[in-house]
Amino acid sequence: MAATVLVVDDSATIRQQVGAALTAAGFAVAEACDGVEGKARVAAGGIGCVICDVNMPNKNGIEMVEELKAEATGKLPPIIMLTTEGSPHQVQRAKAAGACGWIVKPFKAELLVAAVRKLTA
Amino acid sequence: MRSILRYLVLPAETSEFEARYLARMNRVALWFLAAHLPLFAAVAALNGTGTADAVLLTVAVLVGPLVAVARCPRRVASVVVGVAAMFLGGILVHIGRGPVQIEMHFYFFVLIALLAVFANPMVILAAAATATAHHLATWLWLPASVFNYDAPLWVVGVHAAFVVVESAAACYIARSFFDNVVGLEKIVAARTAEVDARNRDMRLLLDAVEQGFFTVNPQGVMSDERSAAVDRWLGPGVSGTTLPERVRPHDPMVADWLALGLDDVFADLMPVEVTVDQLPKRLRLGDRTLKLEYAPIPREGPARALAVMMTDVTATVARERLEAEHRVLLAMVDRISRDKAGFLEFVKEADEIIGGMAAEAPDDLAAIKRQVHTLKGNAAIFGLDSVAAACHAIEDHIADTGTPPEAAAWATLHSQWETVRDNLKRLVGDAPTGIALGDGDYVVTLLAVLNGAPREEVARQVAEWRLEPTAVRMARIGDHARVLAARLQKGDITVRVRGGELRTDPERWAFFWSAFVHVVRNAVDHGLEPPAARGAAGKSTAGVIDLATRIAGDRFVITLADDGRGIDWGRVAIAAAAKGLPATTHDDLVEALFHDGLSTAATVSSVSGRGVGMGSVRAACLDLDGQLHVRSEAGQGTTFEFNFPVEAMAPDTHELLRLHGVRYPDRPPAETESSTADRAAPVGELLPHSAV
Repeated sequence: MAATVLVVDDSATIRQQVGAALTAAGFAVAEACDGVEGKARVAAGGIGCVICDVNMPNKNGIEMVEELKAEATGKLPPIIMLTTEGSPHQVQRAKAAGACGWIVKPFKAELLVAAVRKLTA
Repeated sequence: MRSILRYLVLPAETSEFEARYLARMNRVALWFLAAHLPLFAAVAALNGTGTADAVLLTVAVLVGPLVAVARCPRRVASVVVGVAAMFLGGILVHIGRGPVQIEMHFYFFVLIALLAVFANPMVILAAAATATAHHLATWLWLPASVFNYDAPLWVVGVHAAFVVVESAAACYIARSFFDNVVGLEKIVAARTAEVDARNRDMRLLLDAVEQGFFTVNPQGVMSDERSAAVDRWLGPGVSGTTLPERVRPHDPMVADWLALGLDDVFADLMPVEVTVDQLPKRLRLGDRTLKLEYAPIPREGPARALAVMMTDVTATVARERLEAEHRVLLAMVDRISRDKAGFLEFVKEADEIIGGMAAEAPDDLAAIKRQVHTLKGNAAIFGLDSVAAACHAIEDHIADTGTPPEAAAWATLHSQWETVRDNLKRLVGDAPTGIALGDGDYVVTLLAVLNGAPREEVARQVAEWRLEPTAVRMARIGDHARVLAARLQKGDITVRVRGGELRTDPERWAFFWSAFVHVVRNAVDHGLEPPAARGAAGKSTAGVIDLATRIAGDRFVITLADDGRGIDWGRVAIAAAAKGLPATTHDDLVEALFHDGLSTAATVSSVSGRGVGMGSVRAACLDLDGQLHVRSEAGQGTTFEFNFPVEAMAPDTHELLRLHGVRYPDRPPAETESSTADRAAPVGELLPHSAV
């Protein structure tokens, strides 16, 4: 059975685009609209991979990854950050916090799916 | 025959290794032959066959190899050793006369085999020829010195046959030994020379091509083998330097992305096609632009190295820039032909904004964001995408880093704006100021005067010459909404414009209309759903934007309504709380909605979502003594209403007319309704939600 991928983004459009690409590739998709909701959803379990925006209200993506890492009792699902081209330092911080990699927006659906496939294999 | 000869005769060239080897072997052989002297003396003594003769003959034979090893070329010395060995075999058979004389012949066969150690078939051949000559001569003239019986000729033939067979095998062994061991150095040298020649060819190629080729290893270190263009572009580099280190002096941002990207490529966590695709594709070196392309090595599986190709695309970039400028020019021609006054006003306002930004304190990010956001919206509405993109890049930078934009970002914006100004000068020259009167207005007024129309009516008509119908603004904004909707895949939306006959002072209202664009952009970007979602919700697939101006009592009212998804007040409440704003009542939430910097969980897209635009609208509304109301229902849409004192429409004109007893705009004395083409529009009432 295909893994469930959690898409954390404050933009409904991005959630919809990411979700459509992953659903077409056979993944189940869960959504969260900010870091607070995303963190709670990961903690609830059953998530095979997380795709997370960086800039979000309430709790941004990097804070979410850092907190998940700090509070983790078991193995965390692999996390991919969605970022813009202008923020290498944010990617550095996210990777230091434990993100597996990043994907630059606007993303190519086939590459996003390839990344999720590899990380959930 | 020639090939057999080539096989038997070694190549003339002697390698250093072969020379050393033969020198050692010849010395060993000399000691080996010298050891025969006491041995033969002993054999002769024991056998009673003449010790003195044995010693004399052996010494005489040893002189040859002794001289040859000392004086002759090494290969010749080896041949002499082989010949001498056969002579010693003859001596042994001679002094071995008696019952074991035939067994003494073994010596020849053993020695011929041992001579293969010289790795030279000629040594074997010379020895075999010597043995054959010895047997024939001795058999003819001293038969007792070779056979201990009266051997017939065919016996000599049998001995010769064994010698031939063994010699052939020994020659093969000697040549193989030469080719694969003794001559190996020559083989290696030949191949090395071949590789060197290829490397020279490759070097020439790498020096000649106008592209940069090199590889980087998993530590990011660039290969020393690279085309000359690389060092020409990046400057001379020290061996062992990483690619990010070489790039950093030219472009620190690209260097950061390269460092991150190369780590990811070789970490093999993400697919290599993803990580390679995200490596930087352009590098600016002063006026030069390089395109960067990458290929993992190997193509499949985890990358062990990365091939990098750099191409100078400065000319291509310049052409693209020219094409972009051409597009800007076309957009300007289109806009000026349709709405020259509006475009000139936009340019004037943009000049003020850009000039104003230079005066802002560099750390006043809120002010910078407001100005850039307004400029972006205005540029987009007039089709100047390059200016809008430059503004968006600045907004991205501020949002991502929380720091003021770098000089390069400002330079890009200024450069794009200068292009617009240059084009404008070419298109319209220095535009005259003052009232531009349309033919229609001129005729209508002239006829009114000629026909003796009431003084008030003529006064109103003349007053309106310098006022702008709201239809002009709403049509412009409506066009922009349609273009935006198409770009955002919101489908072919319907834009309704009502009540455009009302007129306002264009200068006084310029800031408001600029800010009002943000409300429209928000409505299209976040209010209207995509056609599929609308269909699923039971709505018509085409979203509707309704723009209207009207007079309600003593208020001038501007409304914008959409039939989209409505404002998610819950999300506004969360965002407001996160900013520390009151979020209890509806008024609190409306206030928060227009708070500078608060985004209602919207997409930070090129269109809207940074929470800057709404703050500008609020400020513009307050500047005109206006009030702002919002009504929104989930799934039903949102209506924004801005209402102002009628006098705010054109205070100077109103005041002047009022002093002369002329009421403007002309409206019924009850002051409950007025104007607008749309008599069906609700008038005399305002939206119930009070707000800002």
